[in-house]
Amino acid sequence: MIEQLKAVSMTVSQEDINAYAKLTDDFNPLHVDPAFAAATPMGNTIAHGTLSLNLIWQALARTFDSSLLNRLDLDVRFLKPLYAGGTITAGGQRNPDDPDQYDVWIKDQQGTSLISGHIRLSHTK
Amino acid sequence: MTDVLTYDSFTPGTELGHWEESVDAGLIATWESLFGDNEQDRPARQTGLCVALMMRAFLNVVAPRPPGNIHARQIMTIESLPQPGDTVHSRIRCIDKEIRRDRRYLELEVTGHDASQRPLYIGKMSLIWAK
Repeated sequence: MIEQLKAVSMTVSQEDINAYAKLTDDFNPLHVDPAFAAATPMGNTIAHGTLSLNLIWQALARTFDSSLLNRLDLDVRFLKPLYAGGTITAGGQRNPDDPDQYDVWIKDQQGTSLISGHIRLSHTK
Repeated sequence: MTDVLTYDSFTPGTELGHWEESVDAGLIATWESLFGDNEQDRPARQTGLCVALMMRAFLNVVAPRPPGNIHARQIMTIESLPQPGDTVHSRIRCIDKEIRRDRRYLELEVTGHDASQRPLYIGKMSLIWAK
């Protein structure tokens, strides 16, 4: 029984956000246009929420057998924005009430949850 | 020029369109430039690309959009991972809409399958629509 996912961290630059915009075709100016973003309540550009999810996929891949990612259910809420230049860490903890489910998160350097939710793996070991 | 899709443009229960795209070398290279090319991360790469293809389908079909939309929640079921070279067929529909606390929430569903009709993913997005 694995209780915790291996943590994965990344510092996300504006160049990373621009590259992810290219990957997803998501050129929302909140992500890629500092002047636009500065005029919004966000105040600065923010990363795509699904960019950060990739660290959760990496945490899973580095914790379990590779085949486990072939079938899964994810449910996450994007709670707070990740600003360009921020450092995040993905992690996860087995849910004590449901052995196939892990609570997963993305936290910033202050430990604030930016993304939170759970993931269910079909064949957790 | 096509009008921007506002909140009022969406009707729950209606299909918005479909999109077809391959897991090509360019997408793989972009993912690896961001997250590395460790052998151990290959399943993470394919999962991440599956999500990227879902987003690309949504963003190419549901357009033009007002600037400033916010992605609030993501539900994702992976049924099988697309592999390099696979063509993914995605279909997008609006499943719900609601105004809560003066915010315009849209619920969109994107489903994907491969060329042999093998189900790949079901993604449900909650979006706060800007206009």
